[in-house]
Amino acid sequence: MKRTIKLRIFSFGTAFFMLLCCLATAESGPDGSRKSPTPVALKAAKVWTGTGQVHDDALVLLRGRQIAAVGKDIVLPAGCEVIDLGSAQIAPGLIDPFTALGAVGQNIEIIDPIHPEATAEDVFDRFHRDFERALAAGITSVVITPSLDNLVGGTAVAVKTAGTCACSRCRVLRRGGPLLLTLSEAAQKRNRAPTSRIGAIDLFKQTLARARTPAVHGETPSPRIEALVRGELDAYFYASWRYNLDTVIGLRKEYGLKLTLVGLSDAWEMIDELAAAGMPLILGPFNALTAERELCVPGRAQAAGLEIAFTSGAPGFKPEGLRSSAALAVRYGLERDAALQAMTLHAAKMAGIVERVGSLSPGKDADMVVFSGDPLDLSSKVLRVYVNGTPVYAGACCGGCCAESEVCP
Amino acid sequence: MNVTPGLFSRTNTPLLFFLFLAIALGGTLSIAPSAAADEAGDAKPLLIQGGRILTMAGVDFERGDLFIRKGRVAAVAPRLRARRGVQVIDASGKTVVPGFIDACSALLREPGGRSGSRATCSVIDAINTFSLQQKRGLEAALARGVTTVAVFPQASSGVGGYAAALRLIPDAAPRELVVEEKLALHAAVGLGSYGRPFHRLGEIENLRGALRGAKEYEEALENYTEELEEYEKKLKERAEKDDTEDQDKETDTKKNGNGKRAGRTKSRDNNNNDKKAESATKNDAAKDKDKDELKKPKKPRHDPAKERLLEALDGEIPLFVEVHRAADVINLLDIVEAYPVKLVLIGCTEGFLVTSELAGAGVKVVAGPAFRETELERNEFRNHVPWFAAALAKAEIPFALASSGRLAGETRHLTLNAAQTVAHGLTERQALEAITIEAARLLGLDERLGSLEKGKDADLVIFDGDPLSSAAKVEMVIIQGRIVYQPGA
Amino acid sequence: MMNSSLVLLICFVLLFGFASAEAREASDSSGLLVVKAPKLYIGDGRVIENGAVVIKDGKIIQVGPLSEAPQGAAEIKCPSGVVTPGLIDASSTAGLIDKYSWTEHSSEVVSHLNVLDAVDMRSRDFERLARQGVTTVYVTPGSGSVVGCRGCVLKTAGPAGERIVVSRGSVKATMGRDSYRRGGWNRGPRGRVDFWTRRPTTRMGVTWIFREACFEARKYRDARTKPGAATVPHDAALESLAAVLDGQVRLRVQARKEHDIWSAIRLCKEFGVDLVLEEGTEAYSCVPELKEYGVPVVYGPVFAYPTGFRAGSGEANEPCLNTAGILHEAGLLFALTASDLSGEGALPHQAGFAVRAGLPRAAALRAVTAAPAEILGLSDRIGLLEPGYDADLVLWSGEPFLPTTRPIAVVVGGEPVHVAGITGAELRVLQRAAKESPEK
Repeated sequence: MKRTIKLRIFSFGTAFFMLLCCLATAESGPDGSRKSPTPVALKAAKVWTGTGQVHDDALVLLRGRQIAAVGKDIVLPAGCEVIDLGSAQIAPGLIDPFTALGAVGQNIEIIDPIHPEATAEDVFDRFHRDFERALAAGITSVVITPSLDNLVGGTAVAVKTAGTCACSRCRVLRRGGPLLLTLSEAAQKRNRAPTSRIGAIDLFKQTLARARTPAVHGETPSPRIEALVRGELDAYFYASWRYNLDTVIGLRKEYGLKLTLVGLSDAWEMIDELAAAGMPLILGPFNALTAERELCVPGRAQAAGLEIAFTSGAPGFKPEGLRSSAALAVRYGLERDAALQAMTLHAAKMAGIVERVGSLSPGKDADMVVFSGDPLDLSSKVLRVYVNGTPVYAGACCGGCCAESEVCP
Repeated sequence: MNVTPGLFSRTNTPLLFFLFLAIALGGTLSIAPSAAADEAGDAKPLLIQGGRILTMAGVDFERGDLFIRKGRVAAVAPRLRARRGVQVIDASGKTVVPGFIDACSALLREPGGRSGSRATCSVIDAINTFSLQQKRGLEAALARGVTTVAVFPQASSGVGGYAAALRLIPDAAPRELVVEEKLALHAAVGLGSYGRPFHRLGEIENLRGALRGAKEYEEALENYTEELEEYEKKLKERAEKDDTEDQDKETDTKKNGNGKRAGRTKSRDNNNNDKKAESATKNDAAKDKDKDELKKPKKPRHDPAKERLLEALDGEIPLFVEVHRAADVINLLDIVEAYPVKLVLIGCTEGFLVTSELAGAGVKVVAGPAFRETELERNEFRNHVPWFAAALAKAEIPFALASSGRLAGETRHLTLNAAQTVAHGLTERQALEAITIEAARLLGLDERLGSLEKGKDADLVIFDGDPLSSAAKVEMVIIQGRIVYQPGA
Repeated sequence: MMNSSLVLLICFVLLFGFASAEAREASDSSGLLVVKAPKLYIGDGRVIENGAVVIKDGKIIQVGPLSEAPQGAAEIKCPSGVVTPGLIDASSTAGLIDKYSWTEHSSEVVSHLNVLDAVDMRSRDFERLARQGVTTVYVTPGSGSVVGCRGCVLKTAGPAGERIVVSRGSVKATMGRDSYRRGGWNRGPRGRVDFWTRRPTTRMGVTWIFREACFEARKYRDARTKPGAATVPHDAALESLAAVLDGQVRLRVQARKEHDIWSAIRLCKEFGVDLVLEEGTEAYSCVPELKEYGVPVVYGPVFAYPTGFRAGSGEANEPCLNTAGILHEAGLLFALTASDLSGEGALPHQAGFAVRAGLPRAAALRAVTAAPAEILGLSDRIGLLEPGYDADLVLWSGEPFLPTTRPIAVVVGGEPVHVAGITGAELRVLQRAAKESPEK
């Protein structure tokens, strides 16, 4: 009898102890850190909200992982810690909507040209160095896509490039979208259908037609393709040459798809058609080799009312290419506000993560970059990067050559 | 009866004729100088008023005036008075900087195969200003403020030929663009190797061998000169000696009555005249040989490539070497230690690792572009760091910022390259100097270009906004006092 | 003296007025376009002297003597010109993106695919063809598949919405080496294992695949028309072939050598299918068979030495320059084509070469206008200058197909797409020509 009571007390005590532990852990946020009780406000010479508004000598008030308020005259709560960044400028964390970070070589699966069930989340490797490099360039969120080797490659995944938790799940901003569609020579192979553009277009049309009216041919379509055709699932469509772009515009008209265009080497010839179609564009990366007529496309597209975003082409190209692509676009006619919006808000919209990131607005995640000057000037460097309200990057070492680096010995 | 001839009478015709001629000539003479001035290419004097002038010569003017005459800067001051006949350009609110110099550009050079250039070549022969592609490249670079470029021959390994410095004047023949035709010699280490270590060994050995060969050639030439002097001296002595001998022999002949020619030996066998003659001839031959042993020295075969290299070896013109890896830099410094070469390194991607050696050797660096996206997979650029220029600045190594010299399209983005270095340690002033006065100094053109000082060529750019900003707009570009680019005009 | 110079002046002004090939805007907006010339070749052999073609809304509404032409409309005219219907190229490679996009190698029977998907509608090829006088083309699929995809008929210019005349045309089959030449000896290019390694490797294999495909198509068709058709899985390729067997869709067979042509005829006889022969380099030696089976031929280009992909095929080494003449004498329906050639080998020049080799001139004109229209099944729309037909016509500077003649004006779908300007030299030539026959 005594033994049973001891056992019961023991088991009860253990249970109570475990409950306490659970409660204790439950108090902290999903990222594993305890909710910071002290609100923090960052003061900077300029705050770019990403929505088109710019505040001079303003504050960004953070509460935990989110932004509480942004502005010049905001009421700071009691006990608020104010970090004065001096002449620095704060912008929303940059977003690269089309990358293969950490997934090079892993995201190519060419068994089936129509492979909607594949998802890039399966190759998200948060330990990969690509993410550090992207973070150092000021990029806080990226979309990792399947490769361009299939007509329908599967869904992409939107992730943050840094985080404070010990798991991959909490870095994921969006899973299961957007879908990747490709119409390019990359998807035409020698040992698998399609081997030609003719075959590719036929496969596309068949797939979309079957999804629309499955009963006719007695086949079970993929739920993702069905959702695409119903307009519920958004998709990236990679198409470069003018004839491919013509086909995409035609398919969109016929099936009413929600598309974002990527690739777009011939866009300079077709601005009017693209403007009439009204699809957002992901442009870039631009470098010294890019022809001037292509560098003028962002400016012209923006003037025609199209939403644009930039991609750095990471990791094939350096992630710094995101900002330098935007700088080149500004050089050739894009307005500066539009350039910053392209790197932040519009990119978030195209990735489908605009509720969480993309601008410094109350309620959104506190993902920010502190620049030493104007974010669109290449002479500004990334001083600090905040993700979820925590500084996760504090500048690069430059061999002790620059004064402001906090990192060098 | 005296008939006074009228003014226009026949007798007065010669007088009238000469009078007319005098007037006409006088008229033309008065017109001629200004016409000649126009034809000689001197534009009207220009006065640029009211801008923020960054002279790159130590003095800046927040609000200054700059006077240009006969293609050169005549005066820079806070305020200058505009004279009659001077074209005034209002630059209020704008920034005036010297025209940018790309110290390693591929602009205007016809694309060709690698390693085609030998030491005897000159890149000026590969400059083409007539093709549409080159024209567009020139105009694009001009539109971003680049006024001078240094073009190097494409030697991927070994020593290439003369480089040239060119002004970017649109719609002109190649000869009109030349600032300096024999700017420097060019060599490259490491770019032919594609990561193969043995090939790199061979390249370094080639370069060492080439320099050594040139040095030996120089020594051989010097030796030859000395030997020639000696030979001629000895010849002279012999000639004098022979003269006295000849006189003796002539008297001998007269004694002997022998019609044999001079050069007779004092043979003991006087009986056998033939034998005597034979042996005499033999001995003559021997004596001739003696004389011929005083052989004329052979001149070393003329080698134009080595002659070129000697120009660099003796420090007459600089030697620009493109090298990227730190180990190659050290090897190169070892090679040229023995010679008074004016060495300038191009690219020097891993220069930040060997700054002390570079500083110690007193070499200068034309640092490669900050944008290297298109080349990163090559072995040479693996260790490229964004603060490469700041490292050089900290070690006080004289450096300029330039493009890579392989892509013509990079020159137009020179200011963006400079801006990127500012993000990684350089100050704005250092970056601007690196593409103006420092570049001119490294190219040896700083007497004429690189800063806005009295007496230098009037190459300048008027910017609306900060020159290094991505939104900067070029309002006007002036080369040698002429407006060569003015958008919206 | 003053009088004669005044007359001369008036003549000069008049000549200048008539000699220029202008298209003046109509004073009234009747929407009419009138093309006037001393000769109109209707396309079926008829010639109208001093005629005018009246165009409205993209169609020809009247063809007749000048006197009957309406006044005040926009006009294009030339004092020494000839108007013909717009030329039709029945086997062109215009606008194809690149040679490797033509052929889908994932199967030897791809009759469900369309070559229209490989055509870049903005390609400069179309402008060039239009300037040469070719107003309609049949874009032919590549010859890499045994039973290949379906061709299409396009206008080379004109209103954007009306450029595609037929989007899914005839199915193309290929006899001969083309379908297995690249992967010969059962080995893929560069030794890789890919679709080429399982291709046919001989002509026997090629004809077998064709027969098998037709056989399967027949079976498929029969199964689908019987009860229980719902259980038969849909096969798009066989569906197209079934339509061919039923005669609803035409079949084109490319064959160069004599025995390939015989094979083609034999195979089509077996399944009761009509065919059109394409290329037909050695058709001159198969005339009795072609006549017996009634096979139209799309022949061209005219060459003595093969060039381009014909040279590489190894099958075009025994051409006959006068093949067109021989076909004409035999009374066969045939069309001339420029295939992949342009510039100096363009369709008008091909017709000229055929005439030089022995084809009568009138037959040459028919071979590039009415005959290809008939072969393409569009003889009620294009190929003739008749009321009701599409307004596709060419105004030549002289007798067509001569090396000294060029198109002055080309009209496609009622829109003038090319009207040559007048230079000093042209004016002098036209003046001289006008002086010789002043009333023109």
